[in-house]
Amino acid sequence: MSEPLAIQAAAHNVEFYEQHAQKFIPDHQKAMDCFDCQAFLQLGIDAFRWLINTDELINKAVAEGITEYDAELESKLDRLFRRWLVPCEFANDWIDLQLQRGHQPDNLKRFRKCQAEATAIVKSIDNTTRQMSDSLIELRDEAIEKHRRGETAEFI
Amino acid sequence: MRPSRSIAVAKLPNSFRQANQTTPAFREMYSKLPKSTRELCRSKCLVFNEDPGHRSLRSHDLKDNSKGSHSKDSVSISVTMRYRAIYVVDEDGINVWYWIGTHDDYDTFTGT
Repeated sequence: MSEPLAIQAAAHNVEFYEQHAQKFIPDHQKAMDCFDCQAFLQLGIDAFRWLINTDELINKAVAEGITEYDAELESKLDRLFRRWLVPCEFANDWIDLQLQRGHQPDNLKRFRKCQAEATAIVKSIDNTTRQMSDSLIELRDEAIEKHRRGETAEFI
Repeated sequence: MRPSRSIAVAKLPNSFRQANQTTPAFREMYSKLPKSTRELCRSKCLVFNEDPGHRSLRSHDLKDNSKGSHSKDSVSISVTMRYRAIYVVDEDGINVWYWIGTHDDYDTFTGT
């Protein structure tokens, strides 16, 4: 069975982002200006958006009964999130250099958010401990108390 | 394959509404989600109602190893790879949903 178009497009965007990292790494001494850095970060942001949209699209299709759950597709998305993270080391070095020069790329905050989210997604897949933290235990206890006092409501 | 069902007309069935409750904190978190995610979440509720162990939900227990006041494990389910929701089953058998957000938000909240 051929891959869904969304997966192909997401993979294409991640690949495009990776290729630009490979292109810039050898001669980034020459290419280090804020504008290029910003454009590179934008490639990463766009590729991340593709991954998120594809993830939603696949989950929606499964939830609506349009398609079966496919573990292989999920695994492909997992691998794409991991691939997305690879150029981040280069990106972060480049960002640091810009900041040292007093230039902050306009899209830095958005890129950092994508990086944090991708890291958390991969971590959630790898996490095997699955223990509740103190803050979660506190919130759960509060939830139970509220439920017993009749302060919970039906699902929205 | 599950029967095709449009999100636009999806209504949460009584069986789900009777077995699931949400806390005020959950509803506040839920209200801040993007519209597309809220819609998908409702659709996932239907999947959960039919089969809480459906593989697309990636359901797994979160263990409570403390000696807290209730000491009940919770269950985490995935809305997407980006979003998760957490509930606890109370003594009356009701699922009490108390957390929803991105994995990044979860890591920030739990300090992990």
